[in-house]
Amino acid sequence: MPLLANVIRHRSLAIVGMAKNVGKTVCLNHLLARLWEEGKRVALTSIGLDGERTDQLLGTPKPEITLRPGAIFATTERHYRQRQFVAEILDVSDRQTALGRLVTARAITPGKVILSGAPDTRSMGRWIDDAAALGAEITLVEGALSRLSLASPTVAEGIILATGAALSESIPRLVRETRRVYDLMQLPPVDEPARRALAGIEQGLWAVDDDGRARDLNLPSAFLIAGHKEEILARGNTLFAAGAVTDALLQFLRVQRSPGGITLVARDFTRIFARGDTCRAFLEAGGQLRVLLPATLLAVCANPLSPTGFLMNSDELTAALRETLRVPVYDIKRIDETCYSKTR
Amino acid sequence: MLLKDAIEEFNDLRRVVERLELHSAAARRALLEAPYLRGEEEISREFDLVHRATPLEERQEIFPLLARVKDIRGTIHRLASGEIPDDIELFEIKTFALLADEIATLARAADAEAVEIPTLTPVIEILDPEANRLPHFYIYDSYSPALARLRAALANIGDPPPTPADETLAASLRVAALDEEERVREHLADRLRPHHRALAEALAAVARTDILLAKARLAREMEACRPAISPDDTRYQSLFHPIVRRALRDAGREFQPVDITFGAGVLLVTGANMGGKSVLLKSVALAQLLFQFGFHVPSARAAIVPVDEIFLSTGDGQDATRGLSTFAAEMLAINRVVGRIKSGKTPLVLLDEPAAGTNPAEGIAIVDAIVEFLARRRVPALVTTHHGGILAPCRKCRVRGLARTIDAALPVDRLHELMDYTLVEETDNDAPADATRVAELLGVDEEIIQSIKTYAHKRDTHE
Repeated sequence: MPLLANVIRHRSLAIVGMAKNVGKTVCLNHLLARLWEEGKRVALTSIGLDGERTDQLLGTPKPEITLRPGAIFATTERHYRQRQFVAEILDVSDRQTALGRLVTARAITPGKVILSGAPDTRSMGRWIDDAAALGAEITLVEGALSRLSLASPTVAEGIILATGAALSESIPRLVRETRRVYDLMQLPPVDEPARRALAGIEQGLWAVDDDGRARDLNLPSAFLIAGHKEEILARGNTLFAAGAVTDALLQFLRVQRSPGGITLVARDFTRIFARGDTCRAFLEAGGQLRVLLPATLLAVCANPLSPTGFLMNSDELTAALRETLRVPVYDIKRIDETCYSKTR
Repeated sequence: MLLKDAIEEFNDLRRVVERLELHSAAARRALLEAPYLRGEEEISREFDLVHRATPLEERQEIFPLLARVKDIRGTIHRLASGEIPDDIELFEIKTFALLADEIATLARAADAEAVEIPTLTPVIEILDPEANRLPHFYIYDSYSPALARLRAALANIGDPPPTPADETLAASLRVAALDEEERVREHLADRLRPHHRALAEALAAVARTDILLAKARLAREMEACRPAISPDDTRYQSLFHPIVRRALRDAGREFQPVDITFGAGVLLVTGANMGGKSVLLKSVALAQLLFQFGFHVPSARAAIVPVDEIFLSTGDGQDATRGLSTFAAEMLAINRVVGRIKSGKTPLVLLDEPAAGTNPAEGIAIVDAIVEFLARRRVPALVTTHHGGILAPCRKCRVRGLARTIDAALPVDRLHELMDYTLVEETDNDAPADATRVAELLGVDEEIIQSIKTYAHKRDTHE
């Protein structure tokens, strides 16, 4: 099935890169071109990445996405002022960032702009709704796997994962790394009562007590668990880490030998930074891992070309990925080819 | 004095004001800059406006409109001072003008136009050349035929330009279009500038509307009343303290409201410990403050005399930064208010147990001196005290206190059940003698209670 046919029935789509230069932008541009060919009205935004924003303050990155007339997009006040094309302002947010407020606009003439986006999951969700109300049929969210990004890519109905030679020049290693993220994206959602109790919590370590209520453990950081062993499991066996799930946290929970086992809830797959073996050890010791915001992975886009110029064998790469991943895999360099060969 | 200063000084006032549900950013700023109202006319006009705006509350569509009003004071100011607004600022002005127009229309339809919102039709006409009334903005082609031609030429070349020659042409057209856009902005600024005052007035009027609606709602939620303005005595019927009442309700208890009347001169309030004297003083302070800022007051009925300022001393203001004791801090504060009175101001003075922490003989003399001063200057004042035998001229009343019939030891958390907070006029000059009974009911050791009684008796017979 062509990538487009796979994704077009979704109202919103996040394109998440495993690392820089894995071809996230190529994938995004491919989708945009196809959507525009279909005459779809598109909205574009980005999951705010603080690390990149800091870079943007120091240097000026090149905008890589060309908007067509009619496209709705989100950018910062500063980048809006720097644009070289005509656009109609639709909204200016109240919230200030380092680069000013968030401007939502519609391109009148074609042009390039650096995308930005609402700073947290809830307001990102609202932005997607607003874009739909303004006429967008599909919203593409440029995503990132980073502990610095505040909004979750799961806010979109589906996710496309971009991976590639930039990650590793060894195919088995690339597949292993991609598989790790793939596995995290398969983590089951927490049960409904706990989900309701935890919805909207943006930081801290929490417990869900016997009455199903969320209790803040008031730890300044998940990194400081060692000094607070007593409090952590006093409230209940279901814990929610709104921030990073680290090796230290999982190891600590693994050795607690809590009767009935511990359920650890992460916000979403992007918040789990623990190594694969640490996760496995936790699960084998009777622990359970859940996510508050489950991910729907639609496809994996692989880029056989690394930024250093190394080119992998595309067939080997896609075959290896297809063997281990149960979602469609596309080679972005031959994406149109793959599409047509499959449909014929 | 502005509301933002008053909430710094009076924490109860802050907590009530924080319950106001404002929708627009402009109202939040305007609220903090609301003035202390001194004149009778100003105060009653504010209550009239709240009343006038109230029907607008039923139009639920008003609130999302208010929520979209941004505080564009800075933008208006830059326009007024000759700067050329950029597209984002022009967008802000247009969005605001459209919203203000809708809000004014709603207010008129509800016959609730408390504050007149000046018409911004000329502004809307300037920024909405295609008259579609959408809150969107860019430099439209219709502003300039030259701009339209440049844009059309650019579009003809295509993106990306097919040849290097086209590329060069496109670049020069783009620069020409940007220059033309800037000329359009200059022209728009010139046309908008005469309306900067109307814009500022409309922004203030929308903010006022938001505040009036929030005041009306708070009055209803707090079960507060519109006070009358009184020329002589301040009278409250069923005065309560909204914050204490809410805390009590959360604990399943009821606040017992109090009737109180006071005028120029001192009302001395005595009564047992736990008799609610401090809460009474705080209630009076809060009600007077709310009144002076044009809020309904927490009482069933009220008639209030406006004052120049409000002075509340609760005797717990240790000035640690200056290393002063409670007593010293209290005396210096009272001295400041004495200075204000001598300079011709008429404050409402509320003193909770002045000089309570010092030796009784001197303490009584200090209270006498303060009461004497306030009485002579005809300053409205409420002074609570445990000291008996105050000689200075004043009206006296007492919190009725513990019911006489009960004497069984009670758990301390239920002592309030026996307490009657009603104020009664007092004619004799004795110190209230409920302290021993309170101690007894609290279950203080029998040996100590007996000893208290023996000593009290000895002292009475000795005198």
